[in-house]
Amino acid sequence: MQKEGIFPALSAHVGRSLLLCASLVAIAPAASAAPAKKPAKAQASTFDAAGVAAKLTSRDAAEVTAGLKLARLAGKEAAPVAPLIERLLDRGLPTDLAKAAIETAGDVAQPSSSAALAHWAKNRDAELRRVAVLALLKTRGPAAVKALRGALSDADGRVRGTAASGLGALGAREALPELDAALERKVGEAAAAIGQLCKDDECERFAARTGRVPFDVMTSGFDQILFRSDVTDDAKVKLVGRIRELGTGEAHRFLRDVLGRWASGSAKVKSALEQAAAATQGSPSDKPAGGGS
Amino acid sequence: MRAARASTLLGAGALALTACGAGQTRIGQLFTTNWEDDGGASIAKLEARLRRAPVAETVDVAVGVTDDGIVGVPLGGGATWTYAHAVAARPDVAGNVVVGSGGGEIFCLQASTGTLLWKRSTGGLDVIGAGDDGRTTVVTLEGPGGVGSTLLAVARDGTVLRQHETDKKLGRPAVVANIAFVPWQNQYVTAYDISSGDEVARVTLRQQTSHAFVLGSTLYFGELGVTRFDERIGGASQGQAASASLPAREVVGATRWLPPAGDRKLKVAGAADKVRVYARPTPRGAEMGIEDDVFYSTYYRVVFGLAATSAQVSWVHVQDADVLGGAPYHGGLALCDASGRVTFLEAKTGLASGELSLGQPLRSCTVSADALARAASGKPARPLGEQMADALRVPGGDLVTAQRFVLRELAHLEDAAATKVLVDLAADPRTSPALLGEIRSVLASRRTGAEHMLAALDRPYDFLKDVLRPPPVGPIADALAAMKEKRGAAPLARALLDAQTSPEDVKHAAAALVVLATEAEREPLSSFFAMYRCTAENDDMVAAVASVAEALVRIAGAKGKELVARAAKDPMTLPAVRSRIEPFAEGVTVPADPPFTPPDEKPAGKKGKTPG
Repeated sequence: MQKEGIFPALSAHVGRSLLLCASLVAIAPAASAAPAKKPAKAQASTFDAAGVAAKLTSRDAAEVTAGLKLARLAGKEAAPVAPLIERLLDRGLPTDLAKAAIETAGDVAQPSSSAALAHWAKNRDAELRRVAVLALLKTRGPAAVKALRGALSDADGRVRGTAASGLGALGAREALPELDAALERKVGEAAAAIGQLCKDDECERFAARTGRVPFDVMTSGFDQILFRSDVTDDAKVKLVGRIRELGTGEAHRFLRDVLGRWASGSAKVKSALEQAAAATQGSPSDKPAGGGS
Repeated sequence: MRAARASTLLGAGALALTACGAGQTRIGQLFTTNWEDDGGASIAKLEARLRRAPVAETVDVAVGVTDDGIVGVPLGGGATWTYAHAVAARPDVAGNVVVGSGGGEIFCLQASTGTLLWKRSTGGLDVIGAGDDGRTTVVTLEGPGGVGSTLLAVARDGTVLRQHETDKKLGRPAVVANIAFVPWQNQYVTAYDISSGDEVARVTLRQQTSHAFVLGSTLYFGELGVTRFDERIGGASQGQAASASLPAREVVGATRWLPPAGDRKLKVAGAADKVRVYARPTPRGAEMGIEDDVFYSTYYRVVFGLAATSAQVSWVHVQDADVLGGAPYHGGLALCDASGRVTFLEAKTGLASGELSLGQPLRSCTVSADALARAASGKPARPLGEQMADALRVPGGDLVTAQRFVLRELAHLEDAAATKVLVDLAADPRTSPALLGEIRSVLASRRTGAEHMLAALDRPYDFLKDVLRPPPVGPIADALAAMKEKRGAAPLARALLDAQTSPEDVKHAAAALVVLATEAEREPLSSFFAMYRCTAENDDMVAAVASVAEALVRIAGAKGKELVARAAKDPMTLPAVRSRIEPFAEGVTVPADPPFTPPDEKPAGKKGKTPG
């Protein structure tokens, strides 16, 4: 995102914040598999925005730290001071404070913060990058998706994994090609993300990797596909059939585990699961879970 | 003691002579330094007498030492031959024979077929060298314990015509018209009349000399350089003889024309065989030159063709195995390697024009090429930069010296392709770490090939694309800045923010951006400045932040100055950074931030909506 100046004016940040927030609501996928956050309680805010703002604009590191703690405790209630946190990130901080500011921006969860966080997602400090990627999952928005797609190429495995998970959680279907590439490069988290994002034919292509990618990695994607409501029963039945063809103990255990959680899902898929589980009963290595791959 | 040994060595009656001298005057006792320099009179007289004497050609052949004996192959075509015998010293090729030693014997083989001509007991002495005029073979042998030498003249039927022992160190002899030319003490060549057993002439040379050899029907003496035996030989002691030397410029390893003759006694090729120079003398009117105007330098597997006058590299060839021996011929160089392969390289291009096989791995190898001629392939050579890249990519630390030489030569090539070679090598994970620093240094000094540098910057570290080594940002930054290449600003700014760019490279990129950055780079520079003014982890990063501050002040005017001034006054800015950016902030007033005003709108969470 192009900034208007070296240090964007505060008012511009606020305006952009609101604009991006509204647009993010419009583009966020309804079927996102991200764990739902508890909505803020509809009660009168006790957040002292002015007091926290005073701390965040202090030149004293301890004061800034205190302000960040208060904002973090308030979560989204602290949205009014999000531009100040973004300004701190834009101007730069010592490592500890930067980490606190990034985490706070994540907890305040304003899309306007994504641009500032995106820069830190490229910092030389891998821990700061990882924290920034986590924060971007919460602030969301196009800038977050773009930064997370870039983070899939990161040199640090934790950053890549977090970014892959995040893209799934953000419903970033446009990142599917990169997630495919990431899975090829053994970024296991990409499997679950693909499982969250794929459409029928894409899910089938994903499932075709079975045998080339460790089964326990694949199951994180299978699980997502089987429990998604926007994937057709036919695609799910086909997937079950592919798992059944494996005929392994770990396949059997997975099928039984899914059946155990299949409360009110499609009867057709359930039937396929039951038949597949029965067919794989007694398969080689049909040992209690824990054997792993 | 030596006399007693000689009796044992050759047997009774071995000293029977054939004929008397043909009117030669004995100039003194053989191989003594108690000799008054005759100003070249005796050698000039001998040269005049031998001027029209027939000189035997040397057979073109490669002869290798194996675990079982000797193997040979005629270079002009013919079957490979073998001779099973213990070998203690590498054989020498002289005229049409091969002389070797081992197992307490000396043996002489027909060079083209390997047929045994004669062999005799030596009591364990090993061959230094041999000369042959088609009738008589003269062999020099190293004395017991490496002290002194023995000279032996043997007829084709194995009859010993002459034997002489000396406490002097003899070199590799040559024979012309029954006169043996024997270098000794690294400065004399004695003309020894085999018929009479007398020293009939002597020449004192001004260059270290341990070889006498025949090439193209001409007799030469040499080691450091080469002196021709012609009508000017009488002036040799005054430096007036026709002679040639290699350019003084340092190439890889050895720069002497021929290795010391005494090195031949080693059965297994050593570093001196693998790291050496090959050159073939040729007449240039009354003077001498170097055949094809090219001399050759080998360094294990790497072979260089060098211009005879300047010693500039003309081509580079990489052999699959270490080169053990070779011989230049008109139009090229025949090389023999440790795998048992003989390769013919063209003098002008270094292209391999053919090869022969000795059929088995070799421990050492001797190549002789006198009248050999091979048709040129007519194929164009690959660009020199690419040839050099091949040499630089050869793994293994034993080639580092040669590779450093290649790098120095590469630096002299002005074409853009050389820059590409350097860029590729610097970014290639297979490049030897021992060379990387020099490759980067040479790359930084390039002033051509900006396109290749820009292309490299467009290939940053990317885990997904399997680009796991970032481009050589630092050297490229230096070069682009020196070339004032503004197109480098954007990619360098990106590299600045790439976590995989090393701090050293970041420092150079930032310094380059002081020169190259434009308004378009303001945002990435600001972002870098913000992230690292408080966190710069080392001196390189501190320097980078300071350079970026300077760049921002230049490209962003008042806003840039304000940004830097604000940071200079911020106690959270690292002291090391602050002290370096304060000069840019002098006299700049930093405006206060606007007061915080909570927005009227309620936060998103209060509206009951959550993103996603």
